[in-house]
Amino acid sequence: MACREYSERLDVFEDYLDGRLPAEAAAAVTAHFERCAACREEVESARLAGMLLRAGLEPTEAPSGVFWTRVRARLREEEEKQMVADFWPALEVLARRFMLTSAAALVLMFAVLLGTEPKEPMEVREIFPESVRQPADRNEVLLSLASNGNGR
Amino acid sequence: MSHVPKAREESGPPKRAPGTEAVAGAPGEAGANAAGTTGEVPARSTRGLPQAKERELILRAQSGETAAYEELLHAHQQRVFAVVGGILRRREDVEDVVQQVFIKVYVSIRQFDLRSTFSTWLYKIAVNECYDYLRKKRVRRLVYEADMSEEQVRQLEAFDSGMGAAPPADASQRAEMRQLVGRLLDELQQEDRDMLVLKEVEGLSVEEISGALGINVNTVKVRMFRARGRLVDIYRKRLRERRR
Repeated sequence: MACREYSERLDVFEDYLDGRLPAEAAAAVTAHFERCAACREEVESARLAGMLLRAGLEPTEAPSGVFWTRVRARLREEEEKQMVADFWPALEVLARRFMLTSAAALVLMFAVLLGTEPKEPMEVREIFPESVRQPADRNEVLLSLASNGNGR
Repeated sequence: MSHVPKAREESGPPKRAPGTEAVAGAPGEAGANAAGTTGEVPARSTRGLPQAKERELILRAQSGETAAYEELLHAHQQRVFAVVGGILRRREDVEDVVQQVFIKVYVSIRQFDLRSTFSTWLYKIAVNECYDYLRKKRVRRLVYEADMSEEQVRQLEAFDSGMGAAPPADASQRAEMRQLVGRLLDELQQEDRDMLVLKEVEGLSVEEISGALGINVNTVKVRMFRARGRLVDIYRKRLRERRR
């Protein structure tokens, strides 16, 4: 762009074309065009570009009647997909919880078992503390009877 | 896979889609908000719906109410068609892509941050979906023949003399003109031609284009002005070549 005054202010020209400049700023731009042919021609070219585009292309038309029917069908598909997609992760979470619970129960069982100290085998003396020693022979039996007074 | 502009999760920190900051304070919206505070005219969203109504519909849609989602998108559908149509310019593709945009909105509406502008978020999804579609299909938006027809040359000349500003009345002449303009546009960079078509043909504001493309408002203005100049340069060059 040849003009130094506006070479860094092309946004002002765009606003000017768009009719968005406040009246005072627009008047300043118009006054500038009177003394700067380069800017005037540039803005006229820019205006021509808009005219060319509008003459060649038409705005996109409103959607056809069946558009929303199609969207609704797609939404249903999407919801079904979502349900399937949600089902497996949910099942996975359940399975993981079940496995974790089972593992925890097993660990607990082992801990209880390990925590209980097994009792040592009892001595016969402890079971029958007053058990009588068996006599060794016949004489000893007779002696024992005699000493208990049973032999009378 | 196309992208859904990220917005704030309900409990998370604000995450705006690129470009929304520029649009949040756009003059159009500021004007709308200001109008709302006077009590004379209810504040309106960028297009159509009053802000309070739009907010209510978004909240209901976010809680899974399909009727609210439909009402919300009904209010915006014409603009979404304009964005997609402006970028793709192939009528047969537009409806499919808009459909895809609407599904994406349905799936991701919970991610939308109510402090952002809904239309910006929506247009950004539409733009992403268009570029994604073009990438996947690997199509040029329109394929033109190498040379201009006699009718196109006549139309260019009419334009050059200031006589062709109005669209041609005849359907075949319109088709020729469409092809001609499309060919000129194809010599511009993609974003530049999208800006021009969205502004001049589809009627989007600079702020809407800025939000949809994620480009600063001032940059959009400068690039658009330069793109206009380039378009006319190409047009005059073609005309000179034909006249030789």
